[in-house]
Amino acid sequence: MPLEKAEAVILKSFDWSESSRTVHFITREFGKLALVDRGGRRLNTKRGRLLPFSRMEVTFYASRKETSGYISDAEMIEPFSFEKEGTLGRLAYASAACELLYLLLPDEEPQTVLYGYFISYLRQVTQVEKRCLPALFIAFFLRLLSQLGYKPSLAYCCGCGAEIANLTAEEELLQFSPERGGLICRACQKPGEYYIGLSAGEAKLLETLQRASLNEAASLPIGYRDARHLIEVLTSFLKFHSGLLSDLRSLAFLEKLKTSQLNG
Amino acid sequence: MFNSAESVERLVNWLARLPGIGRKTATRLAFHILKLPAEEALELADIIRDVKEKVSFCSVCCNISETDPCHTCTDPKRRKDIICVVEEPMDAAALDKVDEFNGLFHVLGGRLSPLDGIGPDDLKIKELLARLNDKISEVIIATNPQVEGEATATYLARLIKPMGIKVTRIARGLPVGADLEYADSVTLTRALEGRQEF
Repeated sequence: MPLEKAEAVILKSFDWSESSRTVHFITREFGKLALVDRGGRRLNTKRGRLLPFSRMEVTFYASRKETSGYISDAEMIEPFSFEKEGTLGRLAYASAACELLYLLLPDEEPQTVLYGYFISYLRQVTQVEKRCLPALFIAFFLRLLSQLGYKPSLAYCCGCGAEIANLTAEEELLQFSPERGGLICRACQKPGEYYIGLSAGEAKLLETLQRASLNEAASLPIGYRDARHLIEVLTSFLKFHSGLLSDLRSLAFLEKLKTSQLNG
Repeated sequence: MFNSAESVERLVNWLARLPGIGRKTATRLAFHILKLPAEEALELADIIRDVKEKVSFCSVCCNISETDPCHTCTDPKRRKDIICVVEEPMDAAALDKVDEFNGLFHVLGGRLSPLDGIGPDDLKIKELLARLNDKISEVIIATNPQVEGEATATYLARLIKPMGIKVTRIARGLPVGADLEYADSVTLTRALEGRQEF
């Protein structure tokens, strides 16, 4: 079995014995990989420990069986710490990005640009103001969709191609069609088709975030309710086009945090 | 596999469902049980039944127990003013072996986890807050030193500190017997941060 090396971040892991687990990574060199981590859960393991939300260099024996190989060594390059104010929110938005990548990325297809973008996103999550986290996540979500070929049409009507900017002057409430993949003008709407309403401001914000860099998104504060609605639009779109079956758990976690009785 | 002994086949299938047990090991265990004297095999069956029928959760510390409240909560020799918060009953069992700790426990039943969708109301946090009164002098948070364990610790500290109770976190760093050269940068940083004067 050839020995390979990759820069990687953990997306998800499944424990399957007292000391071993299967770990799914996004790697710079090979895309999404599932590797067996034999004995890695032991306290006295001699090789480097695998830590979530960290950039690591992973050395592994490549294989073509059920997984992509076996981990031989791991070394930390850059840990991302969410200790700043809003720890749980930061953790949830970082987890949501991992969840999306885990669900959407095809196995073993290199995604160098996306990997770099994801690392920048994690860095931003550790640093930005708490109230800018939702915008940052939505920008990441939109970029991921575009990168994987699911870019929703937010500047033009997905039916006739009319410019949305012209419509917002006439219409207060715009409609988003998850099925047809974007905002849709009144003339192109069909009876019985499912739409999600978006205010002109929300549509503009979504379109801005689609074009925004992470740095730009990191300076846009969005309220939790607004962000939830925008994320719902994107998730519905994704469910229709990618076969995603349920809502993201990390986002449900955020909802639980907001509605927890412990918040008083 | 065992056409002539369906019950053995069933036992192998059941044992293979246990964590860390593969089909080969399950087969070995099944044959070991088969060779045991009848009374020993039935004793094992009784123990399993007892565990399922008698063990429940202590209404105070939420640890597993056959009595309510559990023996730890009612033990007069224990300090009642210190509560150590852990994720799982097994963590409490591990800490209970340590002579340095003689206080009470509180088992959360997990940790906050966005990826698993576990929020504050899914853990025994409300029960912990209900135990905190002016007789409690310290809460030691002993959740696992992983990202989610740390986030849970931070969350708990934020809830408890305003009550005027001392909140401490177990130390993080190198395990005893470890080699420095194999430690990662995060562990070494924690070890240096938590250094103590001789």
